This record gives sequence, structure tokens and C-alpha cells, in this order.
Amino acid sequence: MKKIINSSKLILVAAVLLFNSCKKDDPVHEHDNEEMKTMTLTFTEKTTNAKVEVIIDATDSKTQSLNLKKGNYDLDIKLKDFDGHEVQQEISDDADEHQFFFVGPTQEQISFTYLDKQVGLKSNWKVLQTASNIPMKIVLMHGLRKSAVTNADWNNQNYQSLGGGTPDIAVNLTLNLID
Amino acid sequence: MIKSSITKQLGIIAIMVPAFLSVCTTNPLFAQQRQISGKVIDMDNTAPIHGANIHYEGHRKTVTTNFSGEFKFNPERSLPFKLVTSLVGYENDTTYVKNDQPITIRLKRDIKKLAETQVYGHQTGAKTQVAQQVNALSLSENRNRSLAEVLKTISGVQLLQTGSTISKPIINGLYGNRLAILNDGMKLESQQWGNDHAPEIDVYAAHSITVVKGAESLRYGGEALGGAVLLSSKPWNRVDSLRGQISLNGFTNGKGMQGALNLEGNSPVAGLKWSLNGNYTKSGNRKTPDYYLNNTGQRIYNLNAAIDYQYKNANFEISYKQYHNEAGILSSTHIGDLASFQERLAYGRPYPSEVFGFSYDIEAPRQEVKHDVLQFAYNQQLSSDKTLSVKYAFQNNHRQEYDKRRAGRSATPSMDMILRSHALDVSYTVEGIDQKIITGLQAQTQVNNNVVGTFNTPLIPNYNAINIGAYGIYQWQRNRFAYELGARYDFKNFDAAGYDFYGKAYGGDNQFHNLSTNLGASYSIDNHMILKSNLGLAWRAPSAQELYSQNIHQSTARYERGDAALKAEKGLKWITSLNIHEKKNFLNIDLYANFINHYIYVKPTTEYVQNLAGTFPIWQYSQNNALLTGIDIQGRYAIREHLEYSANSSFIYARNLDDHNYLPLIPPLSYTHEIAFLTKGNNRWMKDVKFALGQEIYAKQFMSTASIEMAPPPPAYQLINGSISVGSLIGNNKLQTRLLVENLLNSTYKSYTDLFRYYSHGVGRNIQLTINYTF
Repeated sequence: MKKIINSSKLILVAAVLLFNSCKKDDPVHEHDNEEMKTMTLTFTEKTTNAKVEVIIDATDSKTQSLNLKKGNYDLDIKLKDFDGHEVQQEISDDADEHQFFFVGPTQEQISFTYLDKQVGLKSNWKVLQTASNIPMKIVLMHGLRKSAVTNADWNNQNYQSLGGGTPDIAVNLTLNLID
Repeated sequence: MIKSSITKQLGIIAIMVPAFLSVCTTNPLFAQQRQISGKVIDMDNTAPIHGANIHYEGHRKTVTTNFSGEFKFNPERSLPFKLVTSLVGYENDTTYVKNDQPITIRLKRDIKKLAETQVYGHQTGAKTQVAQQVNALSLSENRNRSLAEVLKTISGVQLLQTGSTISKPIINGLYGNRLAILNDGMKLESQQWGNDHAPEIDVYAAHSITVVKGAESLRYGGEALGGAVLLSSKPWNRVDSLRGQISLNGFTNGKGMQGALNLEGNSPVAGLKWSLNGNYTKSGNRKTPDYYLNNTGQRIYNLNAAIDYQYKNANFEISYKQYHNEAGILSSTHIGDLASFQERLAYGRPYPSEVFGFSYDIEAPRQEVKHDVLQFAYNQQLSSDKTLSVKYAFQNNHRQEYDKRRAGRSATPSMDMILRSHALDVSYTVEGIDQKIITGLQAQTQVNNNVVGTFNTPLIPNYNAINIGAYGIYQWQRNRFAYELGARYDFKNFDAAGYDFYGKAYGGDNQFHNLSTNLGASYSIDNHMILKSNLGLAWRAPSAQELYSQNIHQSTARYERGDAALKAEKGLKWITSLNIHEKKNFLNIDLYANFINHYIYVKPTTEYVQNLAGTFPIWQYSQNNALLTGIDIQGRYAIREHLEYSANSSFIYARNLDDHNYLPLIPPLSYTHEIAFLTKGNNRWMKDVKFALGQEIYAKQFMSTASIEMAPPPPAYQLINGSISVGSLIGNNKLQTRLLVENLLNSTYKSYTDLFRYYSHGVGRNIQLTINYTF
């Protein structure tokens, strides 16, 4: 019996040593490079060089308006992550699995052309008609099958089932096309 | 602060252990009268046989042999009488006892019987424990599957699936952290908090698997709230020469292939034995009746090695197990905001643009898990009635999850965690004629660290956990009754630290104290009927995820928010089981009610989080009182000599008692049955032949509350399975060949407890060919 008590004491000592030998590491703040914080849309009128800019932040709670006069615009999209780094280059590097969709306006209202490899970071918008309060959803799909999608799908409501994938960005705007 | 409280706890235990031990010495266990004693040995190699059951004529009372094969008891009737000795894998022996001289009983090995014996209902642990063992035949036929799929053959066990390749067992409605899984007596320490985390268990390494349905925190520590799964390797006393098994397996759905090799044997050193086991599985995309499930390939490789050394009354065992699993996740389950989730839900299957053909490739999203266990066991037979057992295990669990990310980051894990644990388990047993006392001490430390460099906010913080438990169990028998009474004290310290998405620190130190008890009784109504009842008070401390989670779940489009103020769950489970058996026929009925105080679950709120990827509803970890009650029925009936019918059914009623609604993810009513035709051929190539036709029926889960479900439960469905197996003899070696067809009719269905039912259907027809050669 004494032997057992001795060995159990030994075990307790071993257990105490065990507890002190393992400690967790100090945590580290991981900088999330995946999620995006802001999206800046810059429309430049090709003849007048007039600029229309809209900045959308992840924390915005109200829907912003985008007002475009009739004309011929080039759109340039810039994206920043939560550390303030621009990430649009990462998207154009992976052009074969990213694409922007602008769901809401019709073919008759806007003549749209992708200016990059059908990604949509750069695009040309010709505003043909006037219309107000068009609800527009800008979606960036990631991991879609690009071969199943064409330029004509720029405003396709079925952007999700067209080529599959996950929306990395899905924001709502109110589009006004004015004279 | 922490250290001082630990020292204090240890101090209490240091006092408690000797106190328990001194109880043993003063207990008047061994009042002497006329005694019959003897030893049971193996006829071939004269090795002592541990665990043989000895009954004597006219009485149900069973005596079990100890480590040295010895037994003794005080007979209640006069000499001479008949003594029947039995053990699975041996032929029964009948010996007549004429005087009280010590007897030697020689048991003859029965190899054929070992593979075929129905060991259902075989008791492990206490006689009062409500436990069921996986049928030996069913285990040998299903070794190539996951643990959960093997356990499915026991009534009351269902699958919680994450697609076609990842599954975990649900026992009486509880799963994950609410079940303890023990491998050779030591608890599996892995990251079981996620629904998509399958237990890291290699079924090839298990010789027997038992499901304990009682809430036995007493023996298995916190987390055994819903029960326990016990896996054990082949007993060393059954290893006597070089033997082995080669298994080859191929299946059509996923074009899978698998190979396994088991070897065991003696060494030139007396008392030194070894075993070695390795297996490899490769499979590709699974297919539903209508389409391939993209990116559902899997690779598994396992390695197990063990050495055992018996020196006089001491036994030393050292073993190493490695489990490695790499699985692709159905690519269309990675979704964005709620709107896109709802759109997918309405479609109910991957979009045509996401359906590709067959491929073995595994791409992001995928998960890779490595689990290593180094275990040491020392058992000492101190005297004929006292045993000391010391076990130690070191476990290293490394889990990596990869998501589809930009700029080559898909190759960097978005979740990379290493959980290391040390566990020490000491128990001391004093076994008398009709009484047994077990006292034990369990200590365990866990350290969970997130590997830096994932560029992703960790799902759970880094933490240290310390758990110390001390228990005492007293068992006694009176005629046809057996009783058990036990109590346990547990202390847990949980210290966590992490940074959230915005760089804000969170975490803290939590302490939990708990007292668990267990009360069990069994009554042998006659030689064919046993009634058991068990009342267990169990507990579980909240997991890191439940306390601190704050992230978007990619596959359900919801933001899950933990609650650092959660209390420990406490469960009181009462289970009563009636077992009727005669020859090959049996009927088992388990009835239970499990009341859980502070049951933790995720509940939707009316709040939302918003980011550029969309809007996500917040689901909050909450706790309420819950009641789970149900019935499990299992039976087999030999209709005539060659025809057997077996069936298994379970039903659960689960309520949130505070919110007056149902609990989510409770398996619906199920009924599984099979008719088998068994015959013996007259040549060595067709020694045993079995044809079986089975049906699985799953009802719709009509007891669900729409407000806490992501989608309504799918309709009822049925699956038909068929198999042919042939046992042949090559010399003295056995060759077993089996052809199995699952989902014979290629039916389209969705399972309520499949978390990917929102995105896809269940798998279609699968034809599988298995060849096992035992030498």
C-alpha cells in the first residue's frame, strides 16, 4: 500500500511538471487580406474629362446614389482591404476567375463593354437613355467559370448560376441617368 | 493566480487518493467460506486468458478471470456442479467440479467463431452499463468506412454529415463535444467543436467498438454527456503467432481504392509481442444519381504500431497511431451573402456551370488533418485481487483548412491550428468475489495554438486548458442483481487569448468545477432476459468556439457570435434497457430521457452584420434547458434455419424547454431492416455464403421549428442495399469476398442531418468489392 501511495505521489509531481511545461503562444493579430473595406468607382467622361466618383465603405448602412449624365464614360474601380492596401491588382492577376456584374440597368439604357479581360475593373459605359431610381447591384464573382459567361452578361440577373462562384462583393446603389 | 489554484486542487486530490485507497484496505470484502478457484488458459499455448466468463449451473452469476487468467468464487450450492466457461473467440468449455481443489480450464480457440459470433450485447466495463458492441461481422465488413458509418449499425446512432465524405456520429441526439471517444482507454483529444470535423479514428486499428449510451462522465470525464464510443485493439493475450490480414477494397462511386495490411506476432524475447497496421485510401468525386459532386475527393493514410511486454504480473504497452485525412469540400457550398444562399437553396443542387466530370483532384476549399497519438500503458497485478493501471497519452492534432482565395493564397491555409494534449490516467482496482472498487485520477493539459501567417482572423483563440478529475466507483452483486455507484469531481481551467478581426484582444480565464455521479443497476430476469437501468449526472464545459466565435460561416451565410459568459452544461440522463436473447435471436429496447441544463446551441437574432460581400444575419450562441427523450429498438430473428431478419429503429423527441420549440439537427424517425439468407457450401471456395437485402427508411423530421432552421427539413426517403458475401478457405487461411450495392435503385434524396443538403443531394448508387485474406 505504501508503495502505491509513493507512486501516486510521484505521478502527482509528474502531473504538476506537465502542467507547467505547456503554455499557449501569445496571439497575433492576423491581417485579413481577403475581405475588402472600400470600393471606389471613378467614371471619367471621355470628351469633357468630367469625373464622377462614388466611394462605398463596408460599414455604410445607407444606399448611395450614382448620377451619370448622358455621355461616354470609362469606369475605373479601386478596392482596398482593411489594412488600406489596394487589392485590384490581385483581382486582375486572377482574371480567369473574377468578374464584375452590374445588375439593374438595361441594354437600352447603357451600352457596356469590359475593357480588361472581362473582369470589369475597367469598363466603358455609354449612357443612351435617361431614367431615375434604377436599383443597381454591383457584384464581383470569384471562382466562376469564365467560359460560360460573355460580355453581354454584364447585367445578367442570373450572374450566380451562369458560371457559379462566390460573390466577393455585393453592394447596392441607386443609379440615376440624367440629361 | 492560476498556479496557486491548481496547486490547491492537486492538494485536495493528493488527500483524496490515499483516502480512497485506505477505504479499500479496511473494507471487509473478503469474508471467507468454501472457495472454488482456478485458472483459465489457452489450450494451444497455455497463455493465461483474461476476461473469460465462468458461470455455474443453475445460476446467472458470472465470474470473470483476472489478468493472470485466475478466478475464484464462493459457490452457493453443494458439490459437485457444472462450470461453463465462455469467451468470444473460444469454444465453450464444461468442467465438473467435484472438490475444492484448484481447477485448470483449457479453452480451445475457435477461429471461425471469432469472425462470426454475434457479440452484440457483450458487456464492457460494468454489468450495469447500457452499452452495445458493434457486431463483429459488421465491423469486419465495414472496416473501410468512417467511424460514424460503422456505428450506424447500432440503433440510436445516426450520422451528422458535411457532404458525402465527412461524418460524425450522433448518439441519442447528441454529437461532437457531447460524446467522448476513447481509443484504448484514452480520450481522443481533437477539435470536435466543428460540425465538419470528423473524429480522427482509424477503424482498421480497432478490434472491437462499443457504444455506451449512458451519460457516464464518471468514467470518461466531462463531454460524455451523450455517451461514449470505446475502441479497443485486439487483446494481447489473443496474439500468439505471426498472423495478419490483407484487405483490398474498390468502390465505383468516387472510383475509390483502398488497401490495408495488419500484422501481429511474437518476438524472440519471451513476453514481447507486437502489432503493425497500415492503410491507404484514395477516392475522387462522388456522384448523386444525376450529377457529380465537384471536389469531393479524399485521401486517407493511417499507421498504427504497438509493442507489448509482459513480465511476471506487469504489462507494459507502448503504441503509436497516426491518422491523416485530406478531403475536398464540395465547391458550390462556399457562398456569399444571404441572398445568394437563398438563391442556392431554391435551386437545391449545384448550378450546371459548377458540375464537372469525374476527377481525383482535391482543390480549395479543402481540409487536411493529421493526428498523432503516442500512448503508454502500464498494468500491474499487485495481488490476486488488486490491479494498478497507469496510462499516459500525448496527442498532436493539426488541422488545416484551405479556402478559395486570391493572389495564390489558396495554397496558404486560412485556418491552421495545432492542439497538443497530455493526459495521465491512473486507476486502482480492488476486486472481490461479488464486489469491486475502482478509484482513479485523471489529469490532462491541452494547448491550442493558431499557426501564424494565415492572413485570416482565427476562428478560435489560442488557449490552455487543464482538467483534473478524481473518481471512485463501487460495484456489487447480489444474486440476480448487480449495482454500481460512483462519484467524480472535476476541475477545469480554461485560459484563452486572441485578437478579433479589428485587432481587439479578447479572451480570459474561466474555471469550472463539477461533481458527476452515476447510479446503475442490472437485473437478470432469467437466463434470457436482462433489465438494466442507469442514471448519470454528467457535464461539459463550453468550447472555445461557443465562448468566443465571431465570424462568418462561409457555408451557411451566417455570422456566429460566441458568448464568453456561457456556463457549463449539466445533463441528467436516465436510460433503461431490456435485452432478450436466445441463441441467434435477440431484442434490445433502450428507453431514455436526458435533461440538459444550460444546453448550448446557436440561435438566430434579428441583428445583421454588413460588409462589402453582403448582409449576414447574426446567430448567437445561447443556452437553455433542453430535454431529449427517445427509444431505440434493435432485434434479430431467425425465421428458419437459413433465413434471418434483423431490424433497427430509433425515435427522438427533443425540446427546448425555455423557448418551447424543437432542437435543431435531431435525426428523424428511422427504420432499417435486412433479410439475410445464409448457407454453407460443400467446397472450400464456397464455405459460407450470405445474401442480404436491406432497406433504410428515414421519415421527414416533422418536429422542427422553422425560425431556427436555415431551410425546411427534406421529405422522407428510402434506400435499398444488397450484398453477397462468400467465405472460402485457402489451406487454413480464410478468404472473405463481399460484393455490396448501396442505393441499389439509385434514388435521389436529401438527409436532414446532412449540412450540405442545402446545396446538393445525397450520393447515388455505389458498388463495392471487398476482399479480406486472413493468415
